[in-house]
Amino acid sequence: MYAWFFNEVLPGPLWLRIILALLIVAGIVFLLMEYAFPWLSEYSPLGDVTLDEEA
Amino acid sequence: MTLTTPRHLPPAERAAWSSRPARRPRRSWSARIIGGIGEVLITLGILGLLFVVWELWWTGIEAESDRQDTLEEFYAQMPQPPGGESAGESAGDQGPQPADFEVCYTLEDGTEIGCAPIMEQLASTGQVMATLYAPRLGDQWAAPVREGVAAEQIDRGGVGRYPSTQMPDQPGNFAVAGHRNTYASMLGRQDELQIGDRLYLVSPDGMYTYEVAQRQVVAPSQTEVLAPVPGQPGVDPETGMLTLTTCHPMYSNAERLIHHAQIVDFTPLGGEVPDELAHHEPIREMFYAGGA
Repeated sequence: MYAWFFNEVLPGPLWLRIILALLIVAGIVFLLMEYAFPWLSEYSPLGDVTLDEEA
Repeated sequence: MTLTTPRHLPPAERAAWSSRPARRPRRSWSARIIGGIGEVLITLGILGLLFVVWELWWTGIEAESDRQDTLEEFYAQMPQPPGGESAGESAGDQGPQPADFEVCYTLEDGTEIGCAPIMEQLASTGQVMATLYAPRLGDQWAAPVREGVAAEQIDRGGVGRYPSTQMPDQPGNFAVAGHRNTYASMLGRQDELQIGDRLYLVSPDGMYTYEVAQRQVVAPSQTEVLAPVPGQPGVDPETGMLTLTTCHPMYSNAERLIHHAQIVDFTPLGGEVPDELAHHEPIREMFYAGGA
């Protein structure tokens, strides 16, 4: 999967493909950190520090 | 595709490199499927690790800058001590000039506890009502106190007050919650507090001083720690308490770590602050810092 993406999808010589791959990884990590994980954490109880007043 | 031929190799090896077949022989379908499953599993593992990194570290970046901005805003709107603009400097010669204040109740030893009308109003409009200091947790440790314990209050660095608890100007329990491991971990080191340590609640109405009296670990459902008399719901309080609540143990939320502190003093604006707070510039401007 990743080998195919690196070899067949990314254009250009090796150095360009390495740079592109790093940029794509950085972009995905940023999107995860800024959007995906905050959304996910609303469904996770890990950030809950309070005493359950209503519960 | 081929890798480009490395230029640093001697001619014979370069030839050998160049004559490699352009593609590896095709793998069988079953090998490709198993390889693909392996890559998916590795990806999921990396995603899981990234989530932990986000939770423990990334959330703290924004919360910490939010906390510092909040502190600046909070002190920018602080009332001046009696004597006006220059009181901060001139007080050095004249000694403390405590402002007059309205007494809300009196402790057993006769200490008068001032009322907190400005704090009350800040709380009701959703603004930061006070800043909590705990010298044991660090010279620069300062937690803005917001009204409420929902994510929008406690995820911003600082602590949130349980709205069902009492204000510091009346007998009862002023209880706050803060994060232990995430969102700048305001109460990450709460367990380092020791019995007898002082906690200072600096508000526009004056400073409320507390002394840590009890540490306990409870289940998340044990809300009696928030009662006006902690542990005894329904009993009328005679004195003021400050309660810190956070997750316990570290990296878990199975239990809650609770520290109760008892009110021991009230300092009106212009009054003398203890040495352990004197290095905080905004506090020096509001109060009288003797030795500083």
